[in-house]
Parts: sequence; C-alpha cells; structure tokens
Amino acid sequence: MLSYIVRRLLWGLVIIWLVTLIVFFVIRLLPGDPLLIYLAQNQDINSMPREQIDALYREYGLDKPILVQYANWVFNLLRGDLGLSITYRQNVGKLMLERLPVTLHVGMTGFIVSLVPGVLVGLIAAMRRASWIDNVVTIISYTGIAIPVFWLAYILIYVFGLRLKWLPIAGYVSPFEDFWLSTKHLIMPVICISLPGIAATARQMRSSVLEIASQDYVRTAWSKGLAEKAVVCRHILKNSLIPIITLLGMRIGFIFGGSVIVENIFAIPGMGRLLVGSIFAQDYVVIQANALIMAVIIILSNLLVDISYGWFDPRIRYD
Amino acid sequence: MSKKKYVWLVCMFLIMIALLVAGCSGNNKETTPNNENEKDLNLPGNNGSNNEEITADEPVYGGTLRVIVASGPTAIGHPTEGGVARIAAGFPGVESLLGLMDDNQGLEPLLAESWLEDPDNMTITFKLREGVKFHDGSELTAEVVKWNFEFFKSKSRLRYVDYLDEIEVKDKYTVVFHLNNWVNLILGEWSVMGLYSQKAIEENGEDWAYTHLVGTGPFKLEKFTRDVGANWIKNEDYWQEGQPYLDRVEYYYIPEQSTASMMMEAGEADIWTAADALNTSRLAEKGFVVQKSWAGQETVIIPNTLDPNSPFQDKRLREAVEYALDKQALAAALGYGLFEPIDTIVSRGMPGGDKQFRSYDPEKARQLLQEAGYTDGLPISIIAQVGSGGRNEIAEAVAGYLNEVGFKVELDIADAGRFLEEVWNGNWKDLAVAVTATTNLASMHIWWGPQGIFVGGLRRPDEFVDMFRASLQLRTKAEQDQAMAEMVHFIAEEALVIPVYHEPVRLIHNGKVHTDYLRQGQGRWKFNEVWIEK
Repeated sequence: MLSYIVRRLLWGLVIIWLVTLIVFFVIRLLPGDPLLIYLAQNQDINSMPREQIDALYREYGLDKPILVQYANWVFNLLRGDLGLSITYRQNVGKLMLERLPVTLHVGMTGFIVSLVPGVLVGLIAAMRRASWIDNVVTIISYTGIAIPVFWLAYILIYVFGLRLKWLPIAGYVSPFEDFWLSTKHLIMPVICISLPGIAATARQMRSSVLEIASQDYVRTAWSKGLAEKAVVCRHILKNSLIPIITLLGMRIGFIFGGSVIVENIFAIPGMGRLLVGSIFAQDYVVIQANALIMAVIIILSNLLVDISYGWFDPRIRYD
Repeated sequence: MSKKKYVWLVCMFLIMIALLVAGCSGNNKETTPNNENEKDLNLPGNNGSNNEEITADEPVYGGTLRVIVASGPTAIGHPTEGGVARIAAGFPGVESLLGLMDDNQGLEPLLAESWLEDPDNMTITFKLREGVKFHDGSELTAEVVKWNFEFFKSKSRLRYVDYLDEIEVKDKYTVVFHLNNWVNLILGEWSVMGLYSQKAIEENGEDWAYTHLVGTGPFKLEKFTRDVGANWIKNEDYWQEGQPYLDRVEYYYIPEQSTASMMMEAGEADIWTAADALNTSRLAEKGFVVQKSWAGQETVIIPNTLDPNSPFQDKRLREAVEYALDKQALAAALGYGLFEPIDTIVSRGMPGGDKQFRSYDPEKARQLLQEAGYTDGLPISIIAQVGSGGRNEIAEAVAGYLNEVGFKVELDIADAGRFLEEVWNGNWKDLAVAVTATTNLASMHIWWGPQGIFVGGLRRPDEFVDMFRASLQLRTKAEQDQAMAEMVHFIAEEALVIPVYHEPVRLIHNGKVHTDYLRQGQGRWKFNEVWIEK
C-alpha cells in the first residue's frame, strides 16, 4: 500500500508540473497586458513616468523572456513563494490563506450535506423500486441534476431572501465570529452546491444498490432468513458504496469549479471570486496559484478515494 | 393507490412548487419601501429640478446606513495602494485639505481652513485647522501633511510631481508647496488627496494599512474584509461639532446586479450606488428614489486619426458616422430613460456641451460617404469592450446604423485586456467605442490632453495642443470654463470624436436616506451630513 501511495504521489507531482506548464503558457496566450490593465484601472497610466512603469515590469519579472519567467515562477514555487499579485500588490500565498478557508468552509459543508441525503434517498428508492417513493426520487433527482446552479441560486434568493426574508441574501461571516449568522449565510450557497450532488449521488446509489441486490450473495442472505436491516446494512450498503466513492472524488473538483458561480452570486470572498477578478485583470500569478492549489486538492482527494476502495472492498489490493 | 396516481401526485407537487414561485412574483408593490418618494431627484447642474426633498427635514441622530457598492478596494487604508476604489471606499473615514464644492463649483475649505495660490511666486500655502485629530489620537499638523505628500511622491502616485520643488513646513499648521512651474490643475489635484495618519502607518507598517485605515473623517473603520465589506462606527471626536448624525455605516461589496437588486427590495440595504440602467429603472418603478448627478460617463466613438492608412483621416467619413447615428433613439433604447444624447465629448450643461454640430441625417451620411469615394460602401471595424453576455450592445446598435448608410461594419468585441491595450496604445483599426468622463479642465487633461489616454490613435492637431497649453495658465474658473468650451468645440468641429450619450452617475435609495452625495459628482461624500429617518 505504501509503495502505491508513493507511486501515486510521484505521478501527482508530474501532473502538477503539467498543470503549471499549461496554466502558465495558456494565460500568456491571451491578448492584453496585466500591468497595463492594473495601471489603467487605477488611472495611473498617464501620471506615472515611463521609468516607473518599466520598474514595475521589472518588479514583476514581466520584462524577461517567457521561459525565464516560467523558470523563475517554478523556482519560487519550490521555495514556497507563490509570487506577487499585480492587482492586490500582495503575496499570493497570503491571499490564498485568506480565501482558501472560506471556499473550504462553504464547499466542504456542501460536500458533506450532499453525501448523506444522496446515499439514503438512493438506497430507499432502490429498496422500494417502482414504488411512489422511487418515482418521486427519480423525478426530483433528474430535476436536481438538470437545474443550473445560477438559476437555483437566484430562485433561492428570491424565495428565502426576498419574499420570506428567512435568510440573508449575500455576504459571508466566519463561523468563529458568529456561528449562527454564519450558518444562516451558508444555507443558500450550500443548497446550490449540494443539490446537484445529492441528485447525482441518489441516482448512482439507486443503480448501484439495484445491481448489488441482484447478486447471489445477497440472495443467499435473504434465503438465510436475515432481517432486512441486516441484509441492507451488512451486505448491500457497503458494497454499493464503491461507485459512490468514485463519484464523490469527482465532486471535489465540482466544488471548486462551482464555487466560481456560487461565490460571485452570494458575494462570498473565496477562491472562486478571487479567480474571476484575477481573470478579468489577467493577474497571472493569482490565476496560476489558484489553478495549482485546485490541482493539488483534486489529486489528493482522488488518491484518498483510491485508498478508500480497499476499505470498502477488501478484494481490492494495490500491492 | 395505482402507479398512475403516484405519478399524478408527483406532477401536482411540482406544479404547486412552480405556482408558489410564480405567485410570489406578483404584487411587487407590496415590497416598495416608500411610494411617496417615487421621484427623480435630478440634482442641480443637470437639467434643473431640485433637491429640496432631501434637505427639507431636520436631521435626526442615530441609525445605520447600509450601502451596496459593486466592488471594494484591494487595500483600504494605504495612501497609494488599492486603486481608485480605495478613494470612494474611504469616504466615511478620510478627508483632504480641501473639498469639492457642490455642483462642480470648485473647492472649499476642509482640513485646511484657508489656502493661498500664488502663481507669481509659484507657491500654494495651506493653513490647517487646529485641533483636528486622526482616529488614533494623533494631530493633523503641517509635518503630517508633508509626510503624506512625500509618501505619494515616493510611490510615484503624485500627478504633476515634476512641478514640485519642495514642501515647506512654515509652522505647525502652515504648509507651503514650492513649485518650479505653475499650472492651474495642481491645486485641484493635490488638495483633494486623502490624508492618513503618519503615526499609524509608521508604527504598524504599510502591510497593516491594506486592511486598516486611520484618517480624520466622521467615521472610524471598525472592520474591513476584502470582497465582503467595511464597517464604520461614529467618530465621537470628529472635529465638526454635532456631527456625524449616523451611528454606523456598513458597506457591502456585491458584484452581481440581481443579488444587489434583491437586497434592496428585501430591505437589507438602504443605498445602492452601482445599479445598471435596467435595475435603476425597475427599482424606480417600485418606489425607490433615484438620484442623478451632473457627473457621469460619456460613451463616444473614436476614429483612429493617427494611423496614416486609416480612412478616417478623411473628415467627411468621421462626419458621416455622426450623421448616421440616431443618438436620441440609442440613448432611449439602452438607457431606460436615464441616458441623455450628447453633441460633444461632454454632457449638456457642461462647458462646451450646449452646442450641436451634427444631427441625425442618414441621407447626408450616405452622401458624405459617396463624396469620399466609397460608392460601393466602406468596410470598417469597430472595437468595443465585451459586456454582459459576451456582447456590447452599444457597438451592435452603432454597427446597425452605420450599415444602413453604407459602411460595412465588422464588430470586434474584445476582452478587457485586449481592449485596454489596443485603445491605450492606439492599435485599433478604424473605430473604438469608449467610455470617458470629462467634467472639467483636469479631466480634459487626463482624457484628451496631449498625453491623454487615447494618445496612440487620436490625433491632437497642433492648434488644439496650443489651446490646451494656454488653458493651463488661466487663473479664474470662468476663464478655464471658456477655454474648455473652446477645446470641446474644436474636437466636435473636427469630428475627432463622435459623441453618443451621457450616462449620469446615480444612486438608488429607499426614500429614508438624506444625502446630497451626488452633488459632489462622486468625488466626495460628506458622510458627516448624512442622516436617515427613523
């Protein structure tokens, strides 16, 4: 197992290196000059002497050939320095430390919320196949998968924020500052992030349970006269979870991707909002750091998913 | 129960949810904050009207003002970082030597109780108010003013820095700026720069100032969170006696128009300063109060007149573009009643904005195109910055009008990066749709002066440059306005820039807020005078 993990981590490093290559060079294919955008937005472009503008290019290393810029960036990365943001004029690592906890708070809450109901609903629908529960779950889960997140967000804001006035419409409060207010702020974004997850998990769980339920060993369990609870929990549930684990691994990526929309609509100061602003400003280093951190999180979560297979199904071994 | 019935039940459940949502959307008037205030407070300087309603009542103390803005600064209390958003974000807590007077009328005392501009001796002297304290208890003195300006200078953020010889601290409350050359723009530029506590920044460092602010203003910064908002509390030791009236000011940075609009309707905010025309008009219909300013932005079309190969070297073609446009219709269609067509690069009512040079005449446009030798039409491109939905509606509309008269327009909708680069460097091919803001000689300098923003593609004839240089030596506001009008007319006469419409700066509030913010044209917000009805 250990050698497998080491192997996977090494492959992870290769993937991260490829990500650095792609992100670094693709951003630079875009027309536009980030420093020019920064100066233009600050109306400094015609008050700043040319020498000062040149000094800024040097400060950000933008005066050097692109390959040298890449080498410098990677070298600094290895030293733990993510670079200096052009827009924020601050170290990107510091910016990420501000934003990552917010995205993780919202995203991981959404992730956890999507997990339990999805599994339970899918399990019940499968065990009551062709019943009204199954029909309801099927319709709602297809609807949940099909609803665009931004549309759902506005409907939630409209109903729960504007009409019923139960929840604050936008903003973010840290749970360490005011837990109750923080939770109220979190409800609508979490629904937006988790609903597609609940729906997809329920569909996948239903299919998986139906498949496992038709296996010989389940039939044997029934024929032994075991109670439904024992058959479901001991023989069906655990074995049905492997595809769900795969799905959940993929959901991690969605949480970070989806945060871009959710954070902008609900004015949450996370990585998604930072990314959008940085793309508009072509703030190279922030975009690069954002992509890199997302890549690392996705690689690690996929590794965890692969390792967890062995726990759910002892037949799976990596040696 | 049969399976069919279950399906029906599910369908009925979904229909009920849909009806519930749809039902909620009816009867919008129920949420209106105050229908009696449904009026357009078009402030003086912009087509008359009045603002009596916002100053008629006696101010009351207390309350929290909640303000929605589209975005916040990247740094709030650093004297030079944070971009232009920092200036507006700091209005509750930061003050300057002089303040902008209402209705574009010039400058008035603020932290300086008097000033003397002496062009002959090339000095500007400020006499500071005594006893003004920063939020950290340190005193505003001439030394602190000098430190602030040295700081701006050291960061290359002091416009006209080449004109400054030295800053002399004459006594504790008198500071003298010694110049090596005098132009009339310096006082207006330097005297309105926000002043920050030297003690606070020296003790805590520049990094600290990214998220903390220590000024002299009526409110102290309690908390600033980037991309979330800023909370301000009343400065009990404010130097203007009896003020401020409010207890708190809260800023929310909300980028999404729909989210902000619903926050206003839900009563989660009192003022919204960044609504687009559609939302402004929609909320006005629901009873919110819209205040418009004399200041704003002008949408213009700039032909590339510097490129020797550009067909727009020919004045007839530039004129043809203007004759082809029905500006009234464009303003009405895109502005929901808020935009006003313009005849020059400034809005009507500004110096030079009151004269019409060309009116909508498509037949004349066709004729000019033919006279210029383009009987089979002229293929041109228009570059414009991408807007919502990947489009630029004004560019699309302009293209439609130009195609009608014989131009064959190819639209080039560019992202912000490419647009800025092409417009700043003058690389655009034929026409560029741009948004400008010209209200006085200083903004004339920034946008249209010899080193102005479109320097790479907009031709400044020698005659215009001479007019411009001469204008910088004029001493009275009347003389400066006259010179500005002449320059504006010169640009219009030569059709160097095709004006389209003016979009006034505006805000929306719930009818309970008493502020004359927009009379200062967004350059200042006298938070000490703002109050809200209980």
